[in-house]
Amino acid sequence: MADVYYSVGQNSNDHSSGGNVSITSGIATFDTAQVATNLGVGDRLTYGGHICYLASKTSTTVWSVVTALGVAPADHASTTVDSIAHEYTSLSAAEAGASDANHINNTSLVTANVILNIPCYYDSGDDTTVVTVSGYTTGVSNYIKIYTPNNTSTEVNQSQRHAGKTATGVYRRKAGAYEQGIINGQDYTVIQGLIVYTTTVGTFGINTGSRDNVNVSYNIVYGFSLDGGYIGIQAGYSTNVKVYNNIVYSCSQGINLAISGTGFLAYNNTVVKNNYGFVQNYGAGSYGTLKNNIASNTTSDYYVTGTGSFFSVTYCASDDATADDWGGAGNRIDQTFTFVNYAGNDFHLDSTDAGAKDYGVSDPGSGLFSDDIDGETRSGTWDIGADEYVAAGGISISVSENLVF
Amino acid sequence: MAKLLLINSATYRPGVNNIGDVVGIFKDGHAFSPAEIAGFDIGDMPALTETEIHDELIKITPSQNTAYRLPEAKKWVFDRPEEKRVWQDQNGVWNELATTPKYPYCLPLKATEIDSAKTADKATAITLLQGKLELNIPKFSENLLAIDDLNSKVEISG
Repeated sequence: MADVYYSVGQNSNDHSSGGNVSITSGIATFDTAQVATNLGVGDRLTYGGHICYLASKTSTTVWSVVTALGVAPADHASTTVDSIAHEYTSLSAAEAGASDANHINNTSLVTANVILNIPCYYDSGDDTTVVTVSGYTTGVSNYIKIYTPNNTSTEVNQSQRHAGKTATGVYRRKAGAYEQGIINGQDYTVIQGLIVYTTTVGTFGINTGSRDNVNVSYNIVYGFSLDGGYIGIQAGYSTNVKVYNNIVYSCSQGINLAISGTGFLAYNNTVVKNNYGFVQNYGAGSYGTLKNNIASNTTSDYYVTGTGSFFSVTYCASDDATADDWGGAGNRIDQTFTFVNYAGNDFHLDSTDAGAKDYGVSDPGSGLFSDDIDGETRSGTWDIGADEYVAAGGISISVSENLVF
Repeated sequence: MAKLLLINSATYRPGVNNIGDVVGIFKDGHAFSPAEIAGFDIGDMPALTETEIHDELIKITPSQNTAYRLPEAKKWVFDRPEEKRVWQDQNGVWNELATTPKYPYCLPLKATEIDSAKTADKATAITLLQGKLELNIPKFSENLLAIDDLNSKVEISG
């Protein structure tokens, strides 16, 4: 199995620092440090009429590189760096183009035996094209990962991910009127570390579709409130959808799960300022396993219609009386949460918080993740919500996950 | 001043997309990458703004809604009513929306039309768009099933 990387920005300008490069056994060594802030994995390196892609960073002068098919390129003596640039200028183009003859040359990631990595960068603005992920054949070891690279030691010169609150200068997918942010029509997909938002009448932020084995994590989703009925993160008729370390706000519904069996897993999300927080409104049945979530919303925090129920709600907190409506251990109702700047949409826990801090259960995903939305390591008894409070001076270390699906 | 990124033979995937499907609309100054130039057609329409192109798309965008089939009238039940997504065709007929296309619009321009669009004035570019722009929803036969209950008062033109 090989990893392929095709980066997405808003332009494909050359952001190399010049100099020469030599390639030996898949290691590109530059004689000039490549220091552009938006330079990292997935960028196309062009040299001496050849093309390869940055795959991991050792230093600004040493990067591992792969071909479009994810294998080491032929060795090459020192030659001039022609350019280093993003492969695509929109996520929609990357999704549509990755299977063409110049890239994987196959719509089956299983047959090609690759993982399709699409790292997303900020150059100059928002990505405003509608994205539908579909048409590939995927598998547990051959999935699609759409993400913002954030590890400055191994991936990128400057993190392209938000720092746990909305921001400019990082990759953002902005949905237009009546649009969805990201529509997933594909099993085995990872959507990680994005800001997905709208300032108009958007519909769904991240729609996992009726697909199985989807990982939605470390995202910030906001503004999806068309007709009072739309949703930040929507999980359709699916199983094994893992939604963790996300912040969802200013939507009609924060996180809505349809008929997801027991395989809808929501851990350590912060869902606030929406009309409804977590919603299971598909009637009779018992769906969704919720742990360590904060919900603080205007109408209802944990909401079920008819005779349906959540399958399990534990160590969740609400500012109304709904977190314990389905039994379960550790739930906290009628809480007051203290965020760093609620009015300014900074939902990091404040040091004075007494509603969520140290009230979660540790490792709810049994090894799925061990950090928070900022990449800071969770420790002790975990906090409830997407943020783990760390005193000033805490270190963000970008923990890499062991499990994906 | 806008450019359209369109599926071409390099990115065509049978059963997934169509030649000409509109992948994105970009400002005139947008510079596409070599991978995009190789893998897509670029519909360069300097006479039109992004907004003007969106306006043309909106003109052919059908109404969509969710329809509910209620159980026996005036009877309380536990189950939610059956529901379907529906769309309204140009004759006002509501049809089931069984398959949502990956891309809602298609602009299957010939090479000569791509060339002529680059120098077309606004009126010519609009005419080209209106003449070539296709809605993808009706291309799926399963989306052509009229929902009679919703159409009882619709008068079909023609």
